[in-house]
Amino acid sequence: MADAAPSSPFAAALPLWTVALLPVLLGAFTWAVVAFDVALAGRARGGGPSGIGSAVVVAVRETARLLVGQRRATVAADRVLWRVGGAVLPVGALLAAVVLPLGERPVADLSVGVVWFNAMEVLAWASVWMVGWGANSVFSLVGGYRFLVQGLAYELPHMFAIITAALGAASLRVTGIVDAQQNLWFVAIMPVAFVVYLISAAAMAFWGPFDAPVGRDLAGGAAAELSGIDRLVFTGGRWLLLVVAAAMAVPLFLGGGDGPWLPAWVWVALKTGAVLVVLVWARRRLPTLRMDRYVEFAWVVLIPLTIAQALVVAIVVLARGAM
Amino acid sequence: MGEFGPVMALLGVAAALVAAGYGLSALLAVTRTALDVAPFSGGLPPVEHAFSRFHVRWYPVTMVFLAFDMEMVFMYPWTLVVSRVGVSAVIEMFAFLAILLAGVAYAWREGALRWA
Amino acid sequence: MGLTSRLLRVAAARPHALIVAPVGGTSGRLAVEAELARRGWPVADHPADADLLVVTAAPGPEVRAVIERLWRQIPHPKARVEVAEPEQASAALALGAAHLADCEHQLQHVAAPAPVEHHPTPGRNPDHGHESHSGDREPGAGGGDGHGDGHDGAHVGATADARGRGGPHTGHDSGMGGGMEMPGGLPMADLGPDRDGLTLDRLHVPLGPVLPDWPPGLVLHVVLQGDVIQEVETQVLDPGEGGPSFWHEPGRAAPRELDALARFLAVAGWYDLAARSRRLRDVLLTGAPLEQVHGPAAALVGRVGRSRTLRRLLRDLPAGPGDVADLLGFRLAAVRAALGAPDSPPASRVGLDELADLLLGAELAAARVIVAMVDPDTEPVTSRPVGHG
Repeated sequence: MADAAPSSPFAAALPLWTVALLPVLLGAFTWAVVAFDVALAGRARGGGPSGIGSAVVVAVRETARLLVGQRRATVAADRVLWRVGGAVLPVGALLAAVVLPLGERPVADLSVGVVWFNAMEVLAWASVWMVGWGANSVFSLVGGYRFLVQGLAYELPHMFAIITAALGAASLRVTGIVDAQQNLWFVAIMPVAFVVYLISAAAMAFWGPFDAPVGRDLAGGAAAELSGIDRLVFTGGRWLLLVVAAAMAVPLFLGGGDGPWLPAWVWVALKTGAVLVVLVWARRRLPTLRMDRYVEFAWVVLIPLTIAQALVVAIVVLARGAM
Repeated sequence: MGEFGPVMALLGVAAALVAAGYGLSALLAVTRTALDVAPFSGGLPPVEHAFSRFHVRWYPVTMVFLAFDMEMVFMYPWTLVVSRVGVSAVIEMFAFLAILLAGVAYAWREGALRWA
Repeated sequence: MGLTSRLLRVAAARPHALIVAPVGGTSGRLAVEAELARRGWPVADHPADADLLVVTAAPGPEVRAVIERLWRQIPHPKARVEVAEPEQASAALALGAAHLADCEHQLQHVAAPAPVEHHPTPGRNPDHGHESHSGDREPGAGGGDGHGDGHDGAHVGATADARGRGGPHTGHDSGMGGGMEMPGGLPMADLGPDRDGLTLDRLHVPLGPVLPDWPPGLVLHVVLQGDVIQEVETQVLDPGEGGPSFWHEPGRAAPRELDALARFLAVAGWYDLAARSRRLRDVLLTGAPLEQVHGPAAALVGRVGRSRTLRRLLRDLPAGPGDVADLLGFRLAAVRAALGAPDSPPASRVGLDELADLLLGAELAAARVIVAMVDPDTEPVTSRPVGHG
């Protein structure tokens, strides 16, 4: 990691075969997160089979269940939007992950890595709305629109947070951002941006407390009419997006693979796991946030805070340049 | 292969994975015919199609959002030149953001950020 | 089909259950919920996600029609069971899971023509409602009228018909019955003025009676613009079924309030606390003395009451004369009262007319919270029979 900036634009990328490895790694993380969430739910319920083993096997059972399950089509559904919307979610999440350093190097070390991540993660807006609209069902429709307003609330603080990280490193390249944290992790000089990033990671994956678009009060919301493989693709994509969003916090704020004794990839995995644990745990501490309240909070509190954070980091960058 | 070569390859892998899922489902599902159903709203049949002009009560927020989102496009390249251009770059960007924030404050006072 | 068969068995160890609790089915619902928690099986929010349809009482004619419709909406593989007596919950769920795991049975079921969605004729399924828990029936008899996969045709009849029947309740001013032929025989929503002086589509939607954490048998016929309720009429399906409400027995005030609290928390998306409330409820219903749960229950109520997040979310949400935060205050006070005096009669409930007033102008999420918080009596109360408003 101590190398100087790579001479050619893509010298720092992993070999091409890792495009096949990436889905496997993310899938393993997704599986672990599902198991952890199931274990926590089981503890809250206070019944049912407990223990790691049964929690791990739940993801297998759910996958099997949805693979053998019949698909559904609602009356006069807009099938193209509906099915494409569902597929966009996992594909977008995977494409966003292309710039994640798996250790020291990512699958593709794009010079505009941060922008790329942002662009792919925003595909979730389209996906959830398309799935919600396409079903021609009231609950889906309302759920789809709920996600749009959720986007209006979380997206700007989120963008300020990731731009602050890019500002601190004077680089949009994710490996460049990691390199800039060799002495000091960005979480230390931009804690507000880090916290806002975690909030928006949950919000973009419509993960609790931001699960209103697929909420229980809407009987499943945007996903209410999905079954079989369609449901597997959509919910799997959602879990994947959660994992990718959490993993991105590591290079942006937590020093990437930086850490003593262990190899970089182990540190990346450990830190990603820690971020996911926080997100999964936080979901159980709060009720679902209503967007007509949260939008106000996001715009009046979070946006000024993240701008102030960016200003502080800009001054730090200037001071460093002057030294 | 250019910088985006691996990205294209990954797009292919992702599409193949989704397609494989659909293929597996076609092989393994108890039936291939999709179930044709009325949409669910609690068990009674629907009265009308749900496709409708939706009352987007938060429409003013989308307008304010657009203004900010355009600004973000300028902010990405700006991050790269801050240390080179120096103080003036910081002053210009944050003066711009301050103007936008004044707009947000106005929208807030007008009640655009609250609708229920 | 070897792999399919194996996957079915793997999946059947953790089926998702859609619970239909009609009027008179409360005791069955409680037993089924406790049994599902014990087995660690999830509750499905909607038919698309369900494998197992669990009916918690012998349904009346209106609910039976709903059940037939839901049954058709559930994708294969599927099974249905009826829990007429609470003691049968465990056996019924086990039977349902066995049907789900039985590949041959499921494939046979798929191959048979699906029962046509229509009002059920009571004589069509002679075994229904008498057997304590029937597994999923072979629908061959019901679907023998040669419809096969012509589901769309069936929809037209059922929906147009129900629309006619729904008229007195919904009272909607649909002027689009004839004219253009729309897919599925359904009309599009039509324009109308809204509360903000805009002209937007008015969508007529029947909400209920089978929604997660919803009062038994309740149906709200609402007119929506976006997700805002412009008009609402209430109805209870089969209101006279099942004798006096399960809750109106001495000593059941505390579990009832905990049940209502759990449903509110679940609708509000606070699943862990909802699960805790249900657990305390189940402990009380198994006959434990109130003292045993008083401490944790009071702690739970205190935590909900102290939550600033919850208060911020609910404050200034209009609900009748006050706001939803006021309703939460009443609800929590009722829980505290029931915990303090075990033999007190159940707190008086808001009637359905008042509920309709509270819901006017609320958006869907707020409406769900209001219904859960008010927890209206839809089951017969000995002193005051509840029809529909």
